[in-house]
Amino acid sequence: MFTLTTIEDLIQIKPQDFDIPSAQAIKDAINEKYSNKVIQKVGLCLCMWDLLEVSEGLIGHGTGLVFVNVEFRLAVFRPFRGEILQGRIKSSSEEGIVLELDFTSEVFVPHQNLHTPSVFSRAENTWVWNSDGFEMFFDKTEPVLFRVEQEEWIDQKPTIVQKNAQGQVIEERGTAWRLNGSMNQPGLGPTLWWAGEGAPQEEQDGDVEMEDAAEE
Amino acid sequence: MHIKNAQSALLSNHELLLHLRAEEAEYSGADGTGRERPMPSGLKYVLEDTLLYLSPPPDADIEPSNADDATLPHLADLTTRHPNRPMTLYKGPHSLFRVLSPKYRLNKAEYLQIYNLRPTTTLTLDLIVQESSTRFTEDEILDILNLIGQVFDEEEGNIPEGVEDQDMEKIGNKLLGAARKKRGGKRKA
Repeated sequence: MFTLTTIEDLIQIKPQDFDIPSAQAIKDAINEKYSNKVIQKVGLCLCMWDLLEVSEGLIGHGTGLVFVNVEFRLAVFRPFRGEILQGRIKSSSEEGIVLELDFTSEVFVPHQNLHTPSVFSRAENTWVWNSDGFEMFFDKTEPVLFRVEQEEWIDQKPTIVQKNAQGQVIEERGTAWRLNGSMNQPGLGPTLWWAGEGAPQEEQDGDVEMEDAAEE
Repeated sequence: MHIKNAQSALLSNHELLLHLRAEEAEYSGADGTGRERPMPSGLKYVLEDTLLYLSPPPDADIEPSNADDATLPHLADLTTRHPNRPMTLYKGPHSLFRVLSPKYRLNKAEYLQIYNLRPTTTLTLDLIVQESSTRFTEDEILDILNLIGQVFDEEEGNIPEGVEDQDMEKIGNKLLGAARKKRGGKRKA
């Protein structure tokens, strides 16, 4: 789920920060620049992990900023394809279910990737899976297990100016990165379903004997 | 900006959690080094949300019997059992890797997912281990689950100091198993 990425970058240290240890100033500058941002093809950057190399500082003309070449590792969130992750159902629509993982809400499960047969219940705005006559609901805020199927990178070119119907410039941008998931295998989907035993049974509190010795 | 290596290492949730907690302690001054300062806003969101995801506070509404349904409950348990030395799970004679690799061939991604998810049922293990029915018999699968449980439940006190730095013989072909299903980030040129 989380990886480390090695990046080399030019970091500027402001004169106001000259009195604090440079490692700290550099760390702050890196966190300021990278935290909570998505880098194309790399993932969602969380925070700096460690500094590998820092070059000597060079003072820039005119501004007095000190430029340092820093090589560092960054903790990044980037699940690989086929990874099983835990999340929560945020909302459902006709196209599928949106899952959230607290720090990101960009996980989408298209309805084809849900257990078959699943039906969207408009009245309750949830997806319902009919399994052997039992109706299983994909309820909101349920913790679920899902598998990562693929990721989409959407380039956020700064030069493209989007206009809405009235010709006014739209300031808000779409997401740069989206994950597609699936919940169609036994074991995937709300954890409540599989908590009791192997087969999905609603809200049974373990009064049925389990064949696995691991579950005590 | 120049990306030298898009994937230099994989982290388990546990390692990341400890690192984030250390960062938070540093910025807030709780670690006693006197380095408290205001956090960059992006970092603030990241720390709050990711710490929330990785170690949710116990939910008052959830009854004890349903505690398994809370997000990542065993991670909270893990951090109390092995608060400072996540490495004992990875290196040294007490690690999961050492326990499982002599007997079973599992690839790196599967080990990582086992650490993160801690499967307790054959169903969950089947999700993690590709083609588990062809690679292992039912008894072997139960054995794997037992071993996983044993390693995670082992009390910190029983593990002697410094074992993770012990020099152990290299295990040949440690990344055997089903084909690695990475997205190609480590493709050799």
